[in-house]
Amino acid sequence: MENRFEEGLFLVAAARFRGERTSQAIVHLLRGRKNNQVIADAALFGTSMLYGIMRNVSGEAVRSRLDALIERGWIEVHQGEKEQVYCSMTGKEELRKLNAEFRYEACLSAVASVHEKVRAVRFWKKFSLFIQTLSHLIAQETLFYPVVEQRELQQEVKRVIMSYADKRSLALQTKQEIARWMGEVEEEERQIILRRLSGKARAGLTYRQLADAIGTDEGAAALHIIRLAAEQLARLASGAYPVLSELADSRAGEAMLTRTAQQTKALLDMGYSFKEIVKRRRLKPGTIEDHLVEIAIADPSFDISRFVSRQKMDRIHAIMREKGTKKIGEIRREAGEEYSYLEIRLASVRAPRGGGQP
Amino acid sequence: MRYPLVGENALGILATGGGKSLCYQLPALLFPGMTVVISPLISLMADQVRQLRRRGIQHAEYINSTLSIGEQRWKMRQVMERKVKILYVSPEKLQQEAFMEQLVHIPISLFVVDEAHCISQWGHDFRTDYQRLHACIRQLGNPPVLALTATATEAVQRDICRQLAIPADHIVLQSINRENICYDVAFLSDEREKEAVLFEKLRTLKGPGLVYFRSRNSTERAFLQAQEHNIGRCAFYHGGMGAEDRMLIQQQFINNELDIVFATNAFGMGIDKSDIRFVLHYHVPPDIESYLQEVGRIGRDGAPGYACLLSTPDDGVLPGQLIAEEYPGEKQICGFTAFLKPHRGQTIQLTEQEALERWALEVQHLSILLYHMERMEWIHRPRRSKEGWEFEISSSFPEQCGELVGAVFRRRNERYDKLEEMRNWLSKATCRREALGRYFSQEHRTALASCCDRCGIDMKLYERQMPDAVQPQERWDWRRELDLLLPVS
Repeated sequence: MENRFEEGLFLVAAARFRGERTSQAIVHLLRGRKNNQVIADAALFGTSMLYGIMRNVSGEAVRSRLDALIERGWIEVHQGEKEQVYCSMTGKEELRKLNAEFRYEACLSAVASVHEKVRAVRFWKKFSLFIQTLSHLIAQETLFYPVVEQRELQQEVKRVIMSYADKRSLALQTKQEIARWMGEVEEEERQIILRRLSGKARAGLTYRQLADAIGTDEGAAALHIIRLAAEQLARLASGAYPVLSELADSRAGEAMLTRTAQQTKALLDMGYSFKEIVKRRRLKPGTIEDHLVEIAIADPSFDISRFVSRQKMDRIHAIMREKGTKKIGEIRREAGEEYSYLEIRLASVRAPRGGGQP
Repeated sequence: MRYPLVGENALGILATGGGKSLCYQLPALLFPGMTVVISPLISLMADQVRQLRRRGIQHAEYINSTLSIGEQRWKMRQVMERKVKILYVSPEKLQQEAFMEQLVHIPISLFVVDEAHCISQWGHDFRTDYQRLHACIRQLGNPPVLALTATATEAVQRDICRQLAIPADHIVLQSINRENICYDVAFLSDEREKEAVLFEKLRTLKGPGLVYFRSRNSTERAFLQAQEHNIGRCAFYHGGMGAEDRMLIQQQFINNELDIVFATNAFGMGIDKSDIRFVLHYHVPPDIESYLQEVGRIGRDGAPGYACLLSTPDDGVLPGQLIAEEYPGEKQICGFTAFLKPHRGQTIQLTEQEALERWALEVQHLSILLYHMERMEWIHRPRRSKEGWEFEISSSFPEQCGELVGAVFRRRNERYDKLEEMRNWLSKATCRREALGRYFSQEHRTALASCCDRCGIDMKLYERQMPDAVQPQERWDWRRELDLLLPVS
């Protein structure tokens, strides 16, 4: 059975890649392949929101759906030195229609990296558990089936709730913060948020039930919840949501780093230089470079000027803008040999957003 | 409960909802050591532990391979620190050497084999890992064993006792007659009539209830049709849904927010709901035991409930096909043995991927082949590795594959036979309750309300007093929704 929402996901990815990646890269992105390159690309092309969205579908199935769209002519592959995938003219037309219905672009704009997506998902899960728990507590009910199974998230929510002596007043305050949140979103979005939540009086709706209620696709409902969570996370910085802020992960992105990247970061924080880290950890320079890129993506506040000068960064951004390319090789050809691959990779992570014209 | 408390092995045959879990949960809390419970169903395990926690019993845990390595490690730490009183484990997990190596250090007061019929080839749900349990029990120092099942014919009972060293006089038999269930079968000419009758019944039956299907797609199709018939407060459920959404449907059903769930048999095991009033079967289950297990969810509260199986003349086709798919074909089997033959005396490793690509052998198929080959001593020490299996090929691995093909097909044919028995029960002209009893070598006579279609059914007992008035749809208001979630002001 054709699923239009899902087809749109493939089209969005192809459109964003715009010939700078292979068709298989789409499969890796949608399946959430745990690979630095895929994650770095997601940040580069602004497709982080699609990362892993089809992780429960087999590799063969994803590939064959992609092939079906290529066959239909909506996605094109050109053979060059490397295969290049594009969204065709007819594909873009279809995407325009689908986007009007499912609003992919709004979702993609909500997160700049896979780490941000993970953060948003975690926030939503903790928030759901928090509401469910509070809802039961104020009814004097301590026993229920938690909506979130992961023990780590359960502990964190428990910690927050325990830090408030008066549960009723906590519930009231939370309710007020949610009301404020509702003021920031559309009516349909209020439905998605509130009806997904479980409480003592009633269980939350499944994505399918939510989708049926507002007249969209199951996958769209699930994706927009993450978008709404990400957008709310951004609002927490304003200080207007003290309770909800406690449910956000404290350290931006560090917890999301792979263990080996964390180790490199620790050494960086201690003041070791690149060369010293390579020596100490006895890894290839390329590997440490991968860590730096990963760290830069995960932590937007990580200062890359240690590794690439402001001047060089500006030049790289200019080239990216003028040539409309993200390909490291092309950028280097344009910029010259004094620009190392590391400098270009790091600079492109910090490229001003909106990179990736449809 | 007496037997485990005095340290003796026993087998309990108890009706569904007859307090099976209590038989070990209560003693477990009284014992000094840990109680290990072997359970075949991953989801059931999780539900059991959740239910225990919900009742305030914190010292229960479950370990199986669906958990992340991190989660498994954390739970094992709890076990090693003696913080766990009841540990649910999957039989596959018990086969892992690393796991057993740790477990032998913990004093185990009781070893429970839940769904013990899985140990027997004569049963409806034979699982090869269950047959390796006796070795594990020995390894753990021979703790007392309690085997439990709700469905066991005499042959299966004997088999369970033999394999688990349970004395024949230590069998505690509860009548598995469910007095409050009325057994109905509707004979319909084709699919279209079946659909019509289904929705007619759903319109009039007193709920809440379940409708069982043998495929995921049919549950969704039925749900869509229900919407066309303006039947509200219903949902579908199957294993292809996300874990979160499955939990939500379960919770909605328990909370009485749903009246009808169109489900595969993944739904219902371990659901803590006592007032299910009907179970309809849209497709024939593959055997009588499955049928009983599924209708057994009706009326744990003891009040009258209604079961109806919708039958069409060709309803053996689908379940027959499903059974066939579970077993490898002759060509695959011989292709596989031809590959192994030249490697006599060697240890080989095989990944799931390879098995699939080279001989179109699914995980299940390979499991079955390895099981039979081990029994016939064609291979030794089959072990599960991260991506597949590792085993030694015996130097006496035979030239011909015929014996293996025979063994596999024999088992498959037993399943076909059980399907035949199921279908024969449908066409029996005598009391259905009595026929079920005889299948389990028991005498079942009494019924609380109506007995079965052969004895006569008073449908009024199972129908709603009057069809519910359709509630006018109120406009959704977010403030009201928020009040529902957090009723404070």
